[in-house]
Amino acid sequence: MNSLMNTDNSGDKSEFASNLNIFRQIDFFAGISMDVMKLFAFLCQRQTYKKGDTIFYQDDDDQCCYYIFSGKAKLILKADEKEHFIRDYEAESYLGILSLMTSMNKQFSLIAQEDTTCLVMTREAFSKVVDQFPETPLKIVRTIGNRLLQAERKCILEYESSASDQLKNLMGISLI
Amino acid sequence: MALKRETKNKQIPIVKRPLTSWVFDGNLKLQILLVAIILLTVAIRVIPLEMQKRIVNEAINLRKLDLLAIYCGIYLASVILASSLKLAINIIQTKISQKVTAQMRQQLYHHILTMPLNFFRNTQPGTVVNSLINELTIPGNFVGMALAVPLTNIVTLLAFFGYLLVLNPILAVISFSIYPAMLYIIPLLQKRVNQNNIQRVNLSRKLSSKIVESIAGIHEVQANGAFAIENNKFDAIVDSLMKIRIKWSINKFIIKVVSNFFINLGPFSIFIVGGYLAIKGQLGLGALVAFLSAQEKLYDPWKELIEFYQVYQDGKINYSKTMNYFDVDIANELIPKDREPYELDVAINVENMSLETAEGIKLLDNINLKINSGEHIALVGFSGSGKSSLALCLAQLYSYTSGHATIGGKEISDLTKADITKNIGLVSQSPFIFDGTIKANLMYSYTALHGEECVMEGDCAPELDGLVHVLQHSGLFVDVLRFGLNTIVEKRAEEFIPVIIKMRENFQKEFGDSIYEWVEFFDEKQFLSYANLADNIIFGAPVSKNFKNKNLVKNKFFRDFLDDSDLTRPLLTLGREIADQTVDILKNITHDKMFFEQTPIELEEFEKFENLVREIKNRNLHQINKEQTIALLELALRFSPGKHRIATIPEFMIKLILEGRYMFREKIKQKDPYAIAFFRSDQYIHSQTISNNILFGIVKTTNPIAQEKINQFIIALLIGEDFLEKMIEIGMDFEVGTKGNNLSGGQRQKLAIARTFLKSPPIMILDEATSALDNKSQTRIQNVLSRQWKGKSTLIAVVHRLDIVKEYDKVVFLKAGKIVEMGSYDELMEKKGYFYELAHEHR
Repeated sequence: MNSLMNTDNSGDKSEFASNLNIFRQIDFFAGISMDVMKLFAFLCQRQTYKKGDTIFYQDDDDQCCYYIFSGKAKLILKADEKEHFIRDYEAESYLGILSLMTSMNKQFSLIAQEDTTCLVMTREAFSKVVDQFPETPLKIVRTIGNRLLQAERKCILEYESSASDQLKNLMGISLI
Repeated sequence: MALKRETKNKQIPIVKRPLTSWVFDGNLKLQILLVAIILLTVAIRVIPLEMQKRIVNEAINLRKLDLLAIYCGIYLASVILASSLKLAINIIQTKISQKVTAQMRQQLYHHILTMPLNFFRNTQPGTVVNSLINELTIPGNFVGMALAVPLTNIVTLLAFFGYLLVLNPILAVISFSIYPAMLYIIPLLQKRVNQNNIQRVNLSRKLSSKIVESIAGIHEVQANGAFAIENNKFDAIVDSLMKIRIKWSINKFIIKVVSNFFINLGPFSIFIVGGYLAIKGQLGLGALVAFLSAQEKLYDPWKELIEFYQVYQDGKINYSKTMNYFDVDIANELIPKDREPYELDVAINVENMSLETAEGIKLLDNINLKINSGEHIALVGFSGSGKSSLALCLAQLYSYTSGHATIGGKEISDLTKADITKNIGLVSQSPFIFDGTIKANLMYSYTALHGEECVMEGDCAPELDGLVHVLQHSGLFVDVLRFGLNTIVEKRAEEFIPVIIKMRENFQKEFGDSIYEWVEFFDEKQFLSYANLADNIIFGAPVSKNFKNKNLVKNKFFRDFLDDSDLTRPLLTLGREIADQTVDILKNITHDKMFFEQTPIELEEFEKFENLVREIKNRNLHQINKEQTIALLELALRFSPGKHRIATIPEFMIKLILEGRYMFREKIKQKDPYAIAFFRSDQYIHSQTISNNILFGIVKTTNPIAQEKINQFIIALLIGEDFLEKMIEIGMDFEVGTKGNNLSGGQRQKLAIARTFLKSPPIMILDEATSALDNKSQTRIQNVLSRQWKGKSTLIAVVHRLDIVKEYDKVVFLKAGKIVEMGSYDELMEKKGYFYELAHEHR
């Protein structure tokens, strides 16, 4: 638990104020004006999930983005009729920013490993804010671009060390 | 389709009708009556003159009192009669003007609604509004005057001319010789006025468009702080309009002045010629004076004629500018002339069809497509591939520019709108939802097809079962149920109170424990996070209106209680915090209901609180005035900590409120024991929603899984009490708000699909109709389409999600306006072409 959450537990701060605090620290929203950030913090909702609850489902466009506020969740890929564990997400992770911008199915499922609380933002809320502040998505796209570039670099590094031809298929994503 | 009027002019489209055609159309009787009254008035006006003469010559000269009385009586009667008739003339003229203006507006509006979509893409709504509201007023006025004014005044002028001729032929001819000159000069001057008027109409249109544009683009304006840019644009148009209006008025006055000048020249020429004749002894002085006074009477009729002429000219211009603007060919008639609308065999055949824009861009290029009756076709492709254009061409909303497209062998472009609406139902990607209830929107297409009268009078109103059915199929059922459950029924609740109470008992017996953690029960020892503070304090439903929420703070008893229980100050602090925060977050944005879900301030009140925050900015709470105190207290009392995340209340305040709850109960029992119906598990609570009444508590979770479970419990209870349909009926009365703003994007789409299902058309065209829905809802609707509608209705669906495409008989892949692949899902997957690629990308 970090200091941010401790302040939240003190009880004299509204949920809005603590949401705002969180949003300010998310790198995706870096550079976004305070007015927009306030609206995001104002419009997002806290959801609680019991251990074992599915937070989102593979192949479903739930139109939501999640920030794990407390708890822990695992990312699962269903393929070949089997469940493949990908990785765990702990507090302070966020997933699904792209779902805010366009309709897309989640490619994985996320399942709560313990009682988990998420901050959830919907595409509808996001677009209502963006309607008012049209320059917002551009700033977010910059961060997305950086992320793609990082993923590409990781892939290239991997290729350099393993020279696996299969990796070639994955390369070039930063050139979209 | 209710364009029923009695006269033949209705067959000519309004935009082609000359202005003069309105004069008698439907007004013949009124116009004749008007002429009759006018002639009578002219005749009656002679009576006072005659009486004047007789009073002098007979009554006074002969000193006969009885004659004096009679003549004066007649004089008085004729004056009263003349005035009454004048009033009657004005009433009739107004009636004709207003009737014609109303008819012009109605018919033009009816015409505009049928105009091709293309027209609206290039037209600002402001122009339409301006045309309908402003520009038809003067033409309407003209019609009211068109017969009566020229007729009366010309007759009057001629009569005076005759009279003057009798008095003195030479002087009569001289004094009338100025009129031909005026008939030449005035139209010349009027030309300038007309030009000004044309410019004025153009500028008014531009101004209306500008206003509409800035309102539509207000997001952009405010986001960019581009107030100065927009102000400059607007101010420039207003300035030009002002200048042109000044010119227009001045030029009109010039005509009046010129006309007056000529009229005043009349006596002048009489003085010169008549004076000469009198000096020469050829004309008696008395005759000259009589002539001059008679000539003065020419002034009024002439003035009225000039005014009429100006109204006519202005009216003609406004009318023709308006009508020409909307005189766009309507490609398709509304109703077939000599037959009932077709019930078509719904096989569709498209041959070499193209759709080309005026700039030569081919949106559709040589399309060939055969769709059998009852077949389901998916149109697939990237955006811009022409799939929507193809669907809209088949729905006759776009007119293809070459080739053929037939439904049941009939060329689509030759069909009337009635043929199309009878056979086709269309759901667009962003369907329009009209202000009103869910029910009204659900029945929209159905009512349009069957006629309002038939549906209203119950002859062909859909059964409740039918409505419920389409709600289930579209997936809107649960939403409507929720609207129903969230309704506060204050009136007419009596009939189902026992049922709800029974459900409450069953609920506690059967489900009590399992959903305990999701519901906050009405327990008098507990603070309710999901109820507002007023409910928390009163803990009951107000019976006396003094304790209803909006009156609560103004109620002295309650205010005293707040003071006694030490709640006033913390509530004020809370109210201020909420107002400060809300105003800070929501300043500078266009308001949408969604932004107000997390604050007790309502959309309509925002401005009021914005001002309040400004006014009390640097003041202490003890410095604020009475009104401000009331506003802040009221706001704080509406605050629900669980719902409004914008503020929080400290622990000590919760304790104060719980103590206050007891104190309030004690005090009110002494003061007015019947003012409040306290929450009791055996009584219906009128101030709470149906859902809260069933649960005897408030749902405190927004978790979809939990809500789904609660819904299931409640549905089970409703079915058990045979009350589900009733609840749906209540839910269907939910007001959707302007443009359906109270609904989510998904709910709007589901509603649009449901209204097409209800219409049950032989051909259904879905243009990405489920794009805003989650997978589950999309799949449900696709299942309904595949199971219930295959073979029954021909379906053409523009599809953006490829996993549902399997269900279609045929998949048509479009690229750059051309069909590049066509076949069943399996065929196309096997072919490994475009579709295969797209399908793989989507994975």
